Amino acid sequence: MIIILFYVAIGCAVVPFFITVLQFFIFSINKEKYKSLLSIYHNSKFELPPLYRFYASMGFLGSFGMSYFFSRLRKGKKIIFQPKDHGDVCDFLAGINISLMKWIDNYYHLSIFSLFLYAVFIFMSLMKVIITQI
Amino acid sequence: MLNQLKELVNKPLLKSLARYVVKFRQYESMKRALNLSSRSIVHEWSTVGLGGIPGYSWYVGNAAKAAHFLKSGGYIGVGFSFLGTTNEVANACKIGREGDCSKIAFKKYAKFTSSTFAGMAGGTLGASAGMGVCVAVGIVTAGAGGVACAAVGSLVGGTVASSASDYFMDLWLK
Repeated sequence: MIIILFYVAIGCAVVPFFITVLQFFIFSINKEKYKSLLSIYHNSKFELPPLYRFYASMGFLGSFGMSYFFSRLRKGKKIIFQPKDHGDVCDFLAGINISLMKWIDNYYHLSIFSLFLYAVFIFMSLMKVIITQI
Repeated sequence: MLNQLKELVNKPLLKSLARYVVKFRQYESMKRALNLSSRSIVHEWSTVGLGGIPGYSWYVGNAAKAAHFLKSGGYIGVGFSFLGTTNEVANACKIGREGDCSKIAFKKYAKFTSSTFAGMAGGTLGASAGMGVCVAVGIVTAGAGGVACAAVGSLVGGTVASSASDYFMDLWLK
């Protein structure tokens, strides 16, 4: 049982890194689409909120935040630090060519999945800390 | 309006935050740091907009440089971390402990992968946390101020997450 828990914990700690490596390749392949998306947004009447302006300037390292921004707003969902004209931005993003946006949904789901796995690792580690201290 | 601006930019937290991230010089007043008189600010602002204030674009440029520095620093950090790990593994395998070589390699690379992911995720989440703190404290987050808040949050988040990852991994791998 302890050995199974060990492998589950280490798996949850290590697998997210390899998902990130996969994401790096996905990002590299779709880099032009990502840049086009950003330039379409910059050329529109809408302004990126400061947090997402920071993410947008960070390249691959900020792409997780930007995928959250684009993917959720396109579906009309709320995000943290929303743009002022949320509804209009959602309509604008929903109107962008699907071929530019489709990959970003999968990219976003991969980010969420890797974060979930790592959260499991953190939870298991905290439990281990508590159990060893009792 | 000028008084409001003066109050806003002279808040202690914004001043110290901005100095470190955007490299503000050590002046008591931001107005003095930019060598501006109230008249010149109002004149330049009303005629050519915010970007026309002498020195403003320099500071905004530095905020962009800070983001660029973080981006490059992130890649360089991962590179050095990988080289350091490989070096440690190579040393451990050389010095008469060939039997433990694969065990040490597993431990070291597992720690590296976990810490790298934690640093990236911590940096992303830390940026939004930093922005949240700035909004809560009342620091202006428009323009360069927002980028500074996100950059500081990202640095702190990445560093803390990476250290926490090492601590947790040691728990499992000891």
